[in-house]
Formats: sequence, C-alpha cells, structure tokens
Amino acid sequence: MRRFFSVLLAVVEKDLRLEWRTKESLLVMVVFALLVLTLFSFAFGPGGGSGENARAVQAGILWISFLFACVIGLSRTMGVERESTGFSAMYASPADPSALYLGKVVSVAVLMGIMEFAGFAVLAVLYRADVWKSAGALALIAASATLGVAAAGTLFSAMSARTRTREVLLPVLMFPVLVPVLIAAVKATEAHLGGGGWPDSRDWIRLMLVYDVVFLVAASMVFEYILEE
Amino acid sequence: MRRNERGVFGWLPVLTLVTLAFAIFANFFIAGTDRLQGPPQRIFYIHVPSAWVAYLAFFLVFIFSIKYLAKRNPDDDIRAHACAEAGVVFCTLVLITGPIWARPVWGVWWTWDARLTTTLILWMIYVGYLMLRAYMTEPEQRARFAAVMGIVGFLNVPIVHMSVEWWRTLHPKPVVMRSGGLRDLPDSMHVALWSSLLAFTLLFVCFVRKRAQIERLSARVEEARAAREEG
Repeated sequence: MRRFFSVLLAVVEKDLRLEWRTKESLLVMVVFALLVLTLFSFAFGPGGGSGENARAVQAGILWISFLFACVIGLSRTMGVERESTGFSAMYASPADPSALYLGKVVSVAVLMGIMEFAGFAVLAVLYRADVWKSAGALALIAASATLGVAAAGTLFSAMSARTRTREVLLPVLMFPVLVPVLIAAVKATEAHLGGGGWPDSRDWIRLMLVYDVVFLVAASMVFEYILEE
Repeated sequence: MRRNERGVFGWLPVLTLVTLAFAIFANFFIAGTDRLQGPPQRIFYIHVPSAWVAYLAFFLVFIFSIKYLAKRNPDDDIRAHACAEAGVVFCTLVLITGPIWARPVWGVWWTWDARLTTTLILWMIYVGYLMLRAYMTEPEQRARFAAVMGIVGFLNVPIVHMSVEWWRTLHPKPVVMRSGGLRDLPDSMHVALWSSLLAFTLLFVCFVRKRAQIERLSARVEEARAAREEG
C-alpha cells in the first residue's frame, strides 16, 4: 500500500514539475477557459442574458468552458508521454498500473482545479455571480465534478493519444461519457448561484460522487490493458 | 468453413426472412388500428424491436469485451465489433422511427425525455467506439482499446439514464403520453409485437454472423498479404 502511494505521488510530482518548468498546458487552459466564458457572453447577451434563467445559463457556460479547456490539459498530459515513449516506460516498469493511472488523474485534477479557481473568479466579476456566498458548496461541487472529468478524461486521452488522429478523437470519446457529470455539475452550481442551496444540489453531488467511484474503480482496473504493448 | 455454413445456422437467413415477412404482415393486417393514435402507432412494431436489439447488442459488446480481455481470443474482438456495428444501425433506426412517430402523436419531433436522451447518448458513445476502431491500425492494440471502451461505455449507461431522468423530472414539463403497458395490449397487437421482436432479433444475429465472417476473412487476407510481403 505504501508502494502504491509512493508511485502515485511520484507521477503527480513528475507531472506537476514538468508543468511548472514548461508551463505548457495550465496557461493555455486558463486563457482558453476565460476566452470561452467571454465568447458565451457575446452569444447569450451580456452576463448570460437576463431574468430568472440567467443563473442556469451562467452555470452552463461555466461548466462547458471548463470541459472544453480540460481537453487541452488532458491531451497534453498524455501527449507528453507519447512523445517521450512514456507509455513504454510505464508498461516496462514494475509499478502498479492503477497507481500510475491515479497519479495521472490527480495531476490532471490539480491543473483543472487551478483553472476552475480562475474561472469562478471571472464568473464573479463578468457575470456578477455571487460566488463567495456559497464558496464552500461550489468548491465541493467543483471537486467532485473535476474528479469525474479527470477520471474519464485520463483513460480516454491515454487511448486517443495513440490513435492515428491523436488528440482529435478525445472529445468525441469523452464528452458523451461525461454527460452525467456535466448535467450534475451545472444543476448543482445553478442551485447555489441562484439561492436554491443544499436541498437542490445534494442529490446531484451524490450522483457525481457515485460516478467518480464507478469510474475510478473501473478505469484503474482496465488501465493496464491500455499500457500493454 | 463451408461445412459450418450448413447446419442450423445455414437456415437462419431463410428463417429470418420468413419471420420478417410474417411480422410485416402482422403489423399491417393482423394488429388493429390504435383508437387514439391511429395508423402512426404501427411504427411501434419497428421502433420497440429496434430498441431491444440495440440494447442487446451493446450488452453483448460489453460481454465480448470482457471476454476478450480475459481470454485474448481475437474472435471475441471480432464479435464485439460486429455487435457494435449492428447495434449502431438498430440504434439509428430507433432514433429515426421515434421522431417519425412522435411528430403526429406528440406534435413534436423530439422531446428531451429520459429514454430518448439516453438512447441518443448511447448512440454517440458507440459511434465513438467505432471511430476509435477506425483510427487505429495495430490490430492487437485496437482490440484492447476497443474492449476498454466497450466496457466503460456500457457501465456508463445506468448513470446516464439516472442523470437524464433527474434532469428532466426535477423541473415540471408537459406530460408525455405513454402507452398503458404491455398488459393493456389486445391480442392482435401482441402477435405483431412479438413476431417483430423475434424477426428483428434473428435479423440482428444474421447481421452479426455475416459481419464477423467478413471480418475474419479480411483478417486472413491481411495475414496473407503480410506473409507475401515478408517472403
């Protein structure tokens, strides 16, 4: 068990150090997320429209922009492995494949978390959303959604990185599978932005946690078949 | 190879054709016209069996994918592939016949109802499965990746269904007319429904067998070509 965690942490450390030195994905992710947030304002009118539907639109805009931006981070994290023959190294190493997988999930989730922090801040400013009032709830929602996105995304990006089309296939494989997370994250965020609060968001958070567990368990079981050569 | 073609399965296409012909006959001449919905209701006998076959197919993809990863028999990969292709065809049929029926009966082509939406997402997942296969060249790696996709995609179905159901029911929406359940159907409709369920299932088995056969032959051609290039 200790070995498992030391492998996991080694992967996280390696990925985050790489990101710190190259700054290849996080910056692009954040700028892209902000760009999408702004673009949606043009598409739906300033602040995501007006009236009671505005909060729902804002929650949707927020999560769609996160989902789009995370594709960049995910393609990068596995693209790096492909270019540096990391997949062969992972396969050859005696480390538990599920520890390698979970390490990747954590490092992707950390990057996404930083991006989401910036996204919420921008939402508060540009869309005049009251983020601070329910910061704790939003953090919990973001954490459970991010874990699900990272869990599914890491698995699919490990596959798509090694197809002929490279990263192009990733959104096509990943987005349909992420529909439950998107629905739940949007609905729960909407509940807290609009003042519905816990009674409206509780079930959605539970759904995301179930999704996270199912996906993390299933994907760590099958990840060794992805590494095989 | 040829000897296998006789036997029980040799008669399968004939049996399928006969059953299919009877099902179509039953649909138009045996089953009565629905009093509320009128003639459009008859598309039900195509829609429901297609949906059943699509879900059956995706379940079989799941089973063959697990079997492939456990036993590494290339034939299981071929079967999973064949089932996924046939499943996407029947799922497409569901998504086409549904709106054709819904337009005259509900007044709209599409509603974001839980079952409809789940089927649409399911269709997208398995189109993704087929694309993943199409963009991979190395057969053994393709088989493994596809198997992972086949397993994960299917595990996702109940969660998608649950989330979409909540998504639609947490908000009030126009009540969608539903059929009163199988027990309320008159006998003539039972004949049409069950014969067409049988016919579609047989048709599915025919498709999968033929597809798998073609896939095996093309694998042999590939092997022969590779052998000739080497030698």
